[in-house]
Amino acid sequence: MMSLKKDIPLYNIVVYFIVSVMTISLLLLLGYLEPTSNSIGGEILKLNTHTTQTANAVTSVVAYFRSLDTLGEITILFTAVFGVSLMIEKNQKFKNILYHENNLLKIGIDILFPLIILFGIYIILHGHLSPGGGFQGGVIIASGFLLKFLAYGDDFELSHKIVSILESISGVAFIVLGLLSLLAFDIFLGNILPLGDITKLFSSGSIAFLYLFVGLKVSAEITILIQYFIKIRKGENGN
Amino acid sequence: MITLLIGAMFIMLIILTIAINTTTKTANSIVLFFGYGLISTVLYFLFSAPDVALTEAVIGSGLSAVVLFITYLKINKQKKGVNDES
Amino acid sequence: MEINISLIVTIGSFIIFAVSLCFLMIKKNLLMIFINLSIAESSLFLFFIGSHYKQNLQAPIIQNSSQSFDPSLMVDPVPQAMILTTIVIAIAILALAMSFVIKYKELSNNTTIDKLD
Repeated sequence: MMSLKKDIPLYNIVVYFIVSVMTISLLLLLGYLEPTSNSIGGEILKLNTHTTQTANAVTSVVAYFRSLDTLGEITILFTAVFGVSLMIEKNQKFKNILYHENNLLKIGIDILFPLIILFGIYIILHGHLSPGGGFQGGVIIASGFLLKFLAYGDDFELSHKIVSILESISGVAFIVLGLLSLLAFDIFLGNILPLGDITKLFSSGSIAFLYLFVGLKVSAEITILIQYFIKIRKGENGN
Repeated sequence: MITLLIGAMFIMLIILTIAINTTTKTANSIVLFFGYGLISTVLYFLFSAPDVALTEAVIGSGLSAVVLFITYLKINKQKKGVNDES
Repeated sequence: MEINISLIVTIGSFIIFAVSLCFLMIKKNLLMIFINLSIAESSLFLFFIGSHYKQNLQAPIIQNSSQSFDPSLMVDPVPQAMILTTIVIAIAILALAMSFVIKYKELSNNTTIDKLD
């Protein structure tokens, strides 16, 4: 707080004042607005049972009615991880920055790691029945691997090739499923599998499979991202 | 009743934002950022949006703060643990 | 004007946005700049979802096959799907920005934006 009192240039104070005035005028304007009517949301909710037998309306919006946005989001994630891989040096011998020698941590994580992976797979697979889906479950699986890096350090080696191959295959499978639907029904990323009954596990056609491939791809990507961040060159830090 | 709860959560968020920016150590800011994500999760749950609450809990609070913390460890490299000034 | 939820949401989220924007311009440490950016984004997500909420509406998920999707009882699902995508994009941007910060520290041994040469 001391550095704040010494040298705040006048320019910053003037800009803050202008921002506050704009904010307050926006408040007075928006305070009189009502929440917008849900016209397209209402139509989607009415169509939901008939076109996709999905119990979770948000999943059907993400993976069927607006599936092109999900394709764009996967591309953005892939580009970000690709950019990180270009900035980080690839060293021959690397050491983990998070690692501390601790036996209690090892025993605890030995018990927790299968449970976390199981929980992540459960959330990916039940994306169409309860809140969840590919993105949430994928990051949960990646956090399980982060715990492994924390406890074991150099002794836990994830081979970079297998994780990259898994990520590429699930990304390609997402696009191939979309192209099959384009060939069959003239709708990209549409529905080509039989719809089951609602609230059963085998329901909602190809929404479950699209979300499954998204979940696998996100989990592999976030694991690779974390592995890039925690590498440091052996020989620094006096080791 | 729910109005009071939502108002109380927003007041806590404002106090957290001011606290994040006026502490001297950056490690304190990252830990308070975890708390910001947690209260955001409760707010999304009160707005009847369970999907967004789960996503914010896992990604917006968990992974975001972990990435920030790993960067902080890498920037202040010292031998045993990290003692720092801002 | 009466105190309802939409007024509280608007005022609260814009105060958080203004405070974090002000400190984003003042602070010099690189990490604090990106923390403030994340807080500003998060406040806008709260405003977006909070302004589509009316009282006593449920989430758009059904539990057994006897229920049905009723637009007068359920919240709009489209904004929630959009915010889900945007949260993932926000963390992608944060991860890329952190890699730039690490590289900048390696090259010039400086973590503030005081002297950019």
